[in-house]
Amino acid sequence: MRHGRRRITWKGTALVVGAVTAGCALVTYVPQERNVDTPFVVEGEVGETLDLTYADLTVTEVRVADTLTSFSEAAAAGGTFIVVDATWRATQGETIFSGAEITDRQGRRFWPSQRGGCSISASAQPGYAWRTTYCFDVPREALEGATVRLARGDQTEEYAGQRRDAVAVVDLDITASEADELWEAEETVSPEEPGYAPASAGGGEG
Amino acid sequence: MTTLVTPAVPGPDQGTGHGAPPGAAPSLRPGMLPGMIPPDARAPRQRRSWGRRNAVWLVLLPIAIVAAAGASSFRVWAYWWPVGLHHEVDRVAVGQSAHLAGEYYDAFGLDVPERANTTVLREVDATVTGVEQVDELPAPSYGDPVPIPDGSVAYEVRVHFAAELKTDLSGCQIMLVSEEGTRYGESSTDVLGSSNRCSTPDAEGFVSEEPEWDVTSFVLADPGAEITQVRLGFGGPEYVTFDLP
Repeated sequence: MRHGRRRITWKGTALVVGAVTAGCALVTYVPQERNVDTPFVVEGEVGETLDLTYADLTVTEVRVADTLTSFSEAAAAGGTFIVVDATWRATQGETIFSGAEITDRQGRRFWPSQRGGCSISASAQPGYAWRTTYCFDVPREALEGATVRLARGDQTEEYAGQRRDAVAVVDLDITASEADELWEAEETVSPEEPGYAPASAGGGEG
Repeated sequence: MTTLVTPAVPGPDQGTGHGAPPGAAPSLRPGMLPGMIPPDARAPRQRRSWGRRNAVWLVLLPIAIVAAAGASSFRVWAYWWPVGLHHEVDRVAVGQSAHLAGEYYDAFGLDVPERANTTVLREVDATVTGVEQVDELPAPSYGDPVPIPDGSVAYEVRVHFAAELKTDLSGCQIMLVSEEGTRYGESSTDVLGSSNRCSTPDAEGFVSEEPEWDVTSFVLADPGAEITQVRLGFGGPEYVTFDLP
């Protein structure tokens, strides 16, 4: 055991200051969010089956409605409802698909509505395709260029549930002229109850 | 003026002077001449290596890392381990009997009130007696008939159980596992809507009423899947595996 005070040397000081500086630089300049948090985004179109590793997803149809009707309720939109029909086919085990969101060109995010019998999430197991209808109440400017983002992880807390996990982003393919047309149209949609999907809409097997 | 002072307690340099006759030079021991090196004189101490100087801390470092990782991994045992099938307690071939034993906490004592707020050991002997693909599903106990969806195949799984009376069977999972590891029928509710898969259809509660009984459960799967295992559990973490031939 050594006794007495240790000498402070230039070498030792430089080592400590250098290590702290290097640590700060690492934390500041290495893009942690990009490496740690970014989901694996799978982009696609309406009608295309997307492989999200844990499930195959197909957005089968996109409609617009002023009014949603169901067994117990008729719901009028504040703006207009974008009605997204999707089919999930789980590939690993029983899975809850919690994430559903529409993003417009300005980056505004719209979360699904439970009104009119629409779903805000889905749950399915491997072995079958499960059909779900999501409805989003959006303003007029949100229609053009909107995309829908679907995943098993939810989008709360800045997509915390989707970190390092696969996420589908499907372009709804609404152009400016179509947006006006869709906004003017007066449509009433009765969303189907979630259920087994016909094979033609269910994407690939297993 | 110089005064020679003999210290009362030998200092570090005079440490070898004990026993020296009074008057002799304090640095010399008996039998030593000036200039001689004492035979027990220590060689100038070499600076010990970094590893030797920090040996204690180097030993403590892995222990500290393990302690820190353990302290911050409470989510593993608090959230992940209790939910889901993680611990295979028995593995047999189809047709043989597997013993599933696992503890659970009964918070309510719904079927057996005296078990409320106690930890209960559940022990079940189970034998998978058959796994067969079927062309149609039987009528469910409640609700409309369920057709096999397009793009799916259905399997009938038959299981024979033996357990003490009033063994809790809620949360039962009977699942088929494919060669690729896909888990079909993982939910505790089966394709016919039964949420009491390990009980007979006419059972009134979630506890066993007979010492031995048979159940049939139906599972949807992908048409191309090669089923290699049946797993049985009650929410986990314990489960048993039955290998298909």
